[in-house]
Formats: sequence, structure tokens, C-alpha cells
Amino acid sequence: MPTTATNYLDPASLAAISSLDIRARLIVEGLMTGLHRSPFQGFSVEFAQHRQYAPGDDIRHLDWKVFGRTDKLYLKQYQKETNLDLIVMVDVSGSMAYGSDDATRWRKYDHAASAAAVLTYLALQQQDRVGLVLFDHHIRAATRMSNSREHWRAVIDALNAHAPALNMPQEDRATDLARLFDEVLAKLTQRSIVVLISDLFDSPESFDRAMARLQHRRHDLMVLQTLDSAEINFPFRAPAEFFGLEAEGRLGIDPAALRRAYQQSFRDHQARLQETTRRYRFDHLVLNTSESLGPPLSHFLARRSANVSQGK
Amino acid sequence: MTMPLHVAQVAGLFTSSALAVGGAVAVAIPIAIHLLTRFRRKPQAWAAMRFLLDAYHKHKRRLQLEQMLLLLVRCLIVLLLGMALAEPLLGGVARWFGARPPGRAVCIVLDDSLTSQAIGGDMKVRFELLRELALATVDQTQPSDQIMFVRSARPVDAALLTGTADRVSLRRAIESLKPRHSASGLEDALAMAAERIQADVPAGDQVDVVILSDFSMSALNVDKAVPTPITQLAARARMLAPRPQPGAANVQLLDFRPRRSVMLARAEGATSVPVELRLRRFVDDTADTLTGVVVRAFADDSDEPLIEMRREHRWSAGQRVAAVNVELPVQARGTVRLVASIEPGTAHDALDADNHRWALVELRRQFTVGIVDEHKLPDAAGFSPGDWLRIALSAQGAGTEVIAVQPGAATEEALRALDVCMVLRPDMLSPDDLRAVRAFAERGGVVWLFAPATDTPAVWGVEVGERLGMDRQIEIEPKTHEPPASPAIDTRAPRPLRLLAADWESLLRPIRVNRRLNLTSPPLPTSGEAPATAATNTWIALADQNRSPLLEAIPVGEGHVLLLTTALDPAWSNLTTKPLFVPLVHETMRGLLGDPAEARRIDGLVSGDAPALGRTWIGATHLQRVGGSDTVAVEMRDGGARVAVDLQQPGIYIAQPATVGRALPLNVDPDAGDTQAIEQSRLASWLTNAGGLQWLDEVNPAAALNVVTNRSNLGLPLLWTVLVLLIVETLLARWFSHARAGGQSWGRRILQLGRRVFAGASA
Repeated sequence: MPTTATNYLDPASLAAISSLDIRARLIVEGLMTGLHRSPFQGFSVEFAQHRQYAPGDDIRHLDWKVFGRTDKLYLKQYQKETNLDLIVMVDVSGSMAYGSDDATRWRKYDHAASAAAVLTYLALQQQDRVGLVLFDHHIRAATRMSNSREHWRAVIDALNAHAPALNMPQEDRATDLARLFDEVLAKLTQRSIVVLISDLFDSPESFDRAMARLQHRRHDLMVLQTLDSAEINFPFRAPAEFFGLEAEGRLGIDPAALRRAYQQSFRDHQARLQETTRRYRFDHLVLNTSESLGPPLSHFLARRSANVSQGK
Repeated sequence: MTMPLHVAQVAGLFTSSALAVGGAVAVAIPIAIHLLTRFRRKPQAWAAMRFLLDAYHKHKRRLQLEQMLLLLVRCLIVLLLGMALAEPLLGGVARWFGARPPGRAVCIVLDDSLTSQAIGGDMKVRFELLRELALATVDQTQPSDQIMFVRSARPVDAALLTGTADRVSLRRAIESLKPRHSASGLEDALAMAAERIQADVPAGDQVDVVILSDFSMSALNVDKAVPTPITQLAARARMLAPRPQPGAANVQLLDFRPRRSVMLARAEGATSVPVELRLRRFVDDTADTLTGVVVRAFADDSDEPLIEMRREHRWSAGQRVAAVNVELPVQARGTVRLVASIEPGTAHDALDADNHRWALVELRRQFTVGIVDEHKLPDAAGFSPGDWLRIALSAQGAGTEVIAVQPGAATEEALRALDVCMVLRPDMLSPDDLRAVRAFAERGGVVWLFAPATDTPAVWGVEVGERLGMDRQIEIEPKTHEPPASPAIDTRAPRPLRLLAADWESLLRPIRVNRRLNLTSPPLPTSGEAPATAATNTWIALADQNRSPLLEAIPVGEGHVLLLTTALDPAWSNLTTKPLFVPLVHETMRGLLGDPAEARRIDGLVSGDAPALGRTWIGATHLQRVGGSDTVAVEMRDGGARVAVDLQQPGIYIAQPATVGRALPLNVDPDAGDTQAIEQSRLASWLTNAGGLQWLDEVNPAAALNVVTNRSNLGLPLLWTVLVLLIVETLLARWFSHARAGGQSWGRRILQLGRRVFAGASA
């Protein structure tokens, strides 16, 4: 096997690396080979482009020079290259402890934590301010906002410290994302980019309300949905007793007989999530824990970067 | 289906019922697997429970239905596979569902009568051979056959005549059978079987009647016409029978009885008890054959014989019956048991069961006779009737005690101590007297009425006749004979007077009767021995030339009322002065005392009887056979005691509790021991009238029951059904997403296995 950095990005390889920071650096190394522009372009103070005036626009941004030359009204638009605030929200609820691969023991949380570490690393490399929020049905932990390079260590420590476990005692409570976002947004002083990394097994209605709040506060959102391939395909054959990781109870069934129905229910849920994010013009990426983290993340960031450059 | 599930019915459905039962039991396997998979599921942690629960709640009913449907199909596969291997029979299944293809009824008539205990030429007991034949017949029947079984010894045992398909139980029942001691009732058994077949076996069904008998002469009277029920069977039945066994030589005790059943015991020393014994032999009639007989007497409460005497008889050529008289000196009182036995090991004797006979004799200290007569002062003119009677009774010495009873004082209390009550003046009896006299007779006493020596019309006759329950009318006017009438001398002495038989004619000849009372009674036979009417057991000891009775005994209750129609007076007859008078008084008295109705009932009891015992047995709960442990219950019916079931084992039976003080002898019917063979052609003719006769093959007797059966089993169609069900199960499992999820279907597994086996074979 060639020893390029991308070889280390598949889950089996990453799982062999116990240290999250090394894991994240490896991913970033592979990521940066195809990324030439910051994916986190936000609100600029430097001129970026002109836009035709429309009634109601603030006339303070009219470019009088252009008006003098062309007799047409144009507004000046600005670009801010620095001082981006990135809030990474990672789900540490019981469901994130699931991993179907008994050999690698690669959990959804491992995938999520790696993604969070990579994104924070990238942001800190750009001198952007980064904050980490860990939550289940309420905020479990949060780091301060900082653009210090040393802050990454604090992020990594927090991710390590709050990893969920299978046998963790669970409260039978549904996560109310809307309320959770209210709590997070209350601490933000300026428009920020929020990265939500979760399996999103909560109710679509709650997710919808959360999106509405974010849009209302004019924040940007990147949704990274972490799913196990077993959750997508439901490959079980033998009768088994399924027990929920978030105190949903036990259910003894013949999974083969229920497979089709399960998949239908799952697809419906995903469709609603995608419809919601599309409606609010947020980005949504599904990360399959059985696949490498780098390529989809790289592709996602590249596409986002392109969108930003096109002003979309 | 209203028919209850019964092992016998299931047995009739299949060629191999065990496999069917195995298939039914194996239905538990898929059910057990189903339950085990429910309760032994591997725990699986799961994050996306939300979608799983959602899917489960939406499809819960469908899932349960699918599981039940699959389980049902799998159970059916196992059940039908077991049934297919068990080869269900088309006929049996059709019958199960109500439709009824033509079947066959096999009726086995097993002769277990006395002669079946005879030892045949092969030194085997005939009954063993017959039983083996019966078992072979049962084995040869088809599962769909209806088997009827009847034992023909009297009383005919038709408990299993209702028909069964349960060959195992029937076989067990036959194996436990033992021969009985009673006579054969083969004709009755066939008639009962015929009636049952007509009633229970549908028309069109084949009927095979297998008669398993040695066909000795006692089994069947082929001289009699075939009874109607059996002839009706001829149209539809086939008779199967073994050829008659050759006659077996047999010596038997034909009869054994004391001359008197009630005797006076001597005050000192032994009393000589005369017993009559008759021997009979069958088949063998050669000369100089010796038969030894031992007669023993036992006291009522002892197993040690009081006396044992041996007699020997040497047969003459052609002699079939022999009489042996024995005088047994018995020193005892009370009831004495008498047993006669042909010595064991007697030559030419194939049947031991008829070599023993039992009898009872009662030895009494004295008789008590009451004379009901008017009190008269001694008359110089001569003897009164009472005097004549006392003189006659005193002729036997101290054996008879005479008590005078005044008319009007003949109460039940006064009569209780009497054995015989002689009424010289019936015209003077009051209604209370008559009531007491009748009660005395009904308890077994002997009442002897004499015509009163008066000249007045016998107006009392009607009342006395009615009150004593006599079915005779005494006419009012006495009949006068001029010249005097003589008694008929061409009649034999009646049984109670048989000791006088030798001199009977000479004793009767001097008797002359001048006057007598006239009785309206049934006409007498023109000749031969009285009794005149067997129905009432009335017998006439003396009659005149016109057959009008002079001395007649009429049974009343358990006892008798005797009526002498002439008075003990010279003006009426010369009876008192002739030699007949004294023996007539004594023999009549003793003969009747030993011959009450009860004695007549039990004296001739033979194996197979369930006798009515009468009122003197009231209080007995059961009978205990002396020397045996077998007991028979006694039940009360119609005011008297009756044996609940038929008595089979010969011997002396004593009423229990012993305080009842009654006993009876039971003997085999000597005619039941006739071991002569029925001529084969005559038997064939008789049986042919009862149905198409087919002799059983001597080498393979049961082969006659072989039928070329169209087995028409449903095994192959059922196997096809199982195959179809396997395919259905595979499709269902696939449809229910099982197959796609990993091949849970049995059908798929079997196909894969078959493919692997086929591939291996090809390789």
C-alpha cells in the first residue's frame, strides 16, 4: 500500500490511531492537498464587487465614482477575510456511541470528533476564532472562542473527555435542537458559521425550528450528519433483541421481516432533513462511518468554497 | 366432525399408525423452534431505535400474521410428512370424513365351552389352539375392518360384539381368556352375532363369520333347524370354520346325588348315607377299561374328609353309562359336603373338568310333625284317623316327634317348630289357622291335608283352596265309588317316593277307595311318571283308574301342600290297613322335606347359571366357593336373593356371612362334556344354511381372511402436498423478506441441500 496521507483517512486506519490530534492532522494533511482557498469566507470590510441599486438600499454604500462615470447607481459590496467565528457543535448523546464494526470499534462519535478536530484545525490555521460545543439533550461542555493556535489542544481535550460510551446511563429525553441552539446563539456576539455534527436522530420538527432560529439570526450552518452503514442498510438477519442507546427500551424482532419497513422510515427521515436544510439554504453532508472521512469532507469544503467565491 | 378422536379410529386410518403419531408429535418441533427463537434472541445495541420502533408499530399485525402463517405452513409440512410416511388409507380417511367406502366386518365366535378344555390328539388343550386361531384371525384383518368378537360358552359373552377396529386391545383381551366350564351356546352366539351384524354392518359390506370351535357334539345340535336370525345372515355372510376335531375319549361323572337330601342321623354311630353315582363315557366303548371313583364326605366346617371310599367300575364292551352305589358311613350332623371324583390318570379321558361332582346332604336329629285334629276321647269302636297317623309315624322309632295342634290354635308360633304339619280336619281350620298354615308352607314347610272323615259336604274346600293358594278346586260333593276304585298301577313312583319304586306296583294293588273328594285339575298324562304339570311342579303320587288324583302335591311358596283326597277311615278307603300306608307317610314326608322349591332350584345348578336363590337366602351378600378364593356377589331382587353373575367354577358355594347358613352345589352340565365329534358333512350342511361355508386351511388357517386390498393409500399425494407446501413456504418466506435477508426458508434450505447432494453425486 502506498504510504500517502490519504491512505490514513479510511476509518480502519484512523481507528488504529488512538490520539485524536494526530488523527486530525493526518486528515488535514490529506485535505489541504486539494483545498486552495479558505472554505470559511464570511462578512468582509474590503471591497468585493458592485451591485445595482435597488430602492430601499442604504445610500451610504453608493459608489459615487461609478455614478459619475456611467450615470448608473451601484452599491459597493465588501469582503471580510479575517476574524471568522466558527462554532463547532458535536453531538455526544448515547446514539453516537454506536459502531457496527466490531473489529475496528469505530463509532459514529469517532467520526464526528475527527471531523470536528479537522475543521477547528483548519479554522485556527486561518487565524479564525473557534469555539466547541458538546451536547446531548443539553450542552455538556463548551470551549471559549479563540483564534490561538494553542486553543486546538483545548478542543481536542474536550472531545476526548466527553466521548459517549455504550453503557452510559441514559435519560429518556429527546433532544430539543431549537432550545439547544437558543442557548448557543445567545452567547454569540456576531454572525458566525455553525457546524453541527450529529446523527440527527431527533425529531425533524425540532430540527426545523432550530434551522429557523439560525436563519433568523443570520448565521451560517453546515450540517455534518454522521451515520453508521448499518443504520442505513439494516443488514441484520438473525432474530435479535434490539435495545436503544438512549433509553428507548427493548424490542425483540425478526429484523429480516422488518428491514424494508425500517429502511422506508429511515429514508423518510433523511428526506425531511434534506428538505429542511435545502429550504433554509444550509449545507448538509452525510458522513458514513464506514467510508473515509477525507474525500467527502474535502469535496464538501471545496464545493462550499466555490459557492462562497461565487457569492451564493 | 362429531366423532371423538380415538386411538382405534386413528389406527384404522393408516398403514403404520406409529409414524402418523410421530408426525403429529413432531409438529411440536417447529413450534418449539418458534418459541425458542422468541425467547433466546441475541441482544443488539441500536442507535436508530426511533425508526425501528416506528416500523414495528406500523407493521406489528402484519408481522404476527406472517409469523403465524409461516409457523402453520411449517407445522403442516411436518404433520403431512408424518402422515405421508404412515400411508393413510383412502377408506379410513373417507370414513373419517363421513363418507364410507365398502368395508368388511369380521365376526369371531370363539367356543370356550367345557369341551374346549379337552386335550386333543397332539396333547394340546383344544382351547389353546382355538385361541391361537382367534389371534391369527385378528392379525389377518385389515385396519379398516370392523371386528366383532363373541364367546359362545353359556351365558354367551357378547361384550365385544359391538365391533372395534382396535386390534391391539382385542388381541390383549383374547390372550387373557380362559375356557369356561359351561355348555356351549354356539347357536345362541351365532344368532346374537347375526342380529348384531344385521343391525350394525351396513348393507354391501363384506361379512366374514369365523367360528372357532372344536365342534364336539355338545357344541351344536345339527339336528335342529338353523334359527331364523342365522339363516337371514346367509345372504350376505361367509362362514369360516376349522374342520371338526376328531372325537376324544372322555369319561365323566354323569350324576352324583344322595338318595335323600335330608336324613335322620343316628343317635350313636355313623349314619349310612346312600349315594347314587353314574358314570358315562364318550367315543371309547371298549371292554375291560377300568374307571376308579373316589367319594368323600366333609363336615360343614372342615377340609379333612370324614370318610373316603373308592369304587371301581370295569366297563363292558359298548357300555356307555354305568351306575355305582355307595353307602357312606358318616358320623356327623348338619350339612355334609359330598364330593365324587374320577381318579386322575384314568385312561381314555381327555377332559378332566367333568370328572368331579358335588352334592349336599343334611343329617338331622329328628323330624317334628304336628297333627292338627279335633281332640277326641279314645273310641272303643276303633282307631280314629289321628290314631292311624300316630301309629304310622311312630313306626320309625324316636326319629319323629309328634305334636298335637288343636284347630284354632294353629298359629305361626305354634307351627314354627314343625317340619311337617298334617291337617286331619281342614274343615275346622279358622281363617287365622289357614293364614298361619300358608305362611308355614311358603317358608318351605310341608303341609299335608287329609280329607275329613265326615259325611257333610266339603263346603270348606273352596275357602281352604283359595286361602292356601292352591290352584285346585275341591268339589263340595265327595265322590262315591261303587265298586271301590283301585289306584292306577301303571305309573312310576314320583321322585320323592323313588325308594319305593321297586315295590310300587305291589304296594298299590291292594288299595281300594270307596269315597274321595273330587279335584278339578289339569288332565293327567295317559301313562308315565307324574308330575302332571311341569309348569307348576305339581305331582300326583296316587291316582285312580280315571286319573283322578288321590294324593297330589301342590307347591306353595318354598314348600308344598299335599292333599290326600280320601280320609284315613275305613269307610273311605282301606289305605290305613295296607302295607303302603306307613312307607307312604314316611317317604312322602322325607321326600318332600328334602325337595322344597329351593332344593329343586339349586339341585340342578350347572356352570353358567346365575340362579335365583329365594327368600331363605336373604341376608347373604356373596357366595364363597369352598377351597377357592373366588367369590360371587349376591343381590336382592324381587323379594329374594339372586346371584349377580353366572357361576362358572364347579364346587360348593357357601353363603356369606355364614350366619345365613345356606350352601349350594354347582356342577358342570354333563351333556356339555360330550366330546364326540359332529360329522363333518352334517356340520357343513348346517353351516351352509347359515352362509357360504369355507373350511379354514389347516396349515395357514388365517389365509382365508386375506383380501387383495387396493391399498389406495394417500401417501404419494400427501408427499406431493408436502413438496408444494415447501415451495409455498419458500415463497412466503421470500415474500415476507426472509429469503432476501439470508435464506431462513426451509424450502430454500432443502433445495440448497438437495443441490449440494446432487452436485456431490455428480462429482
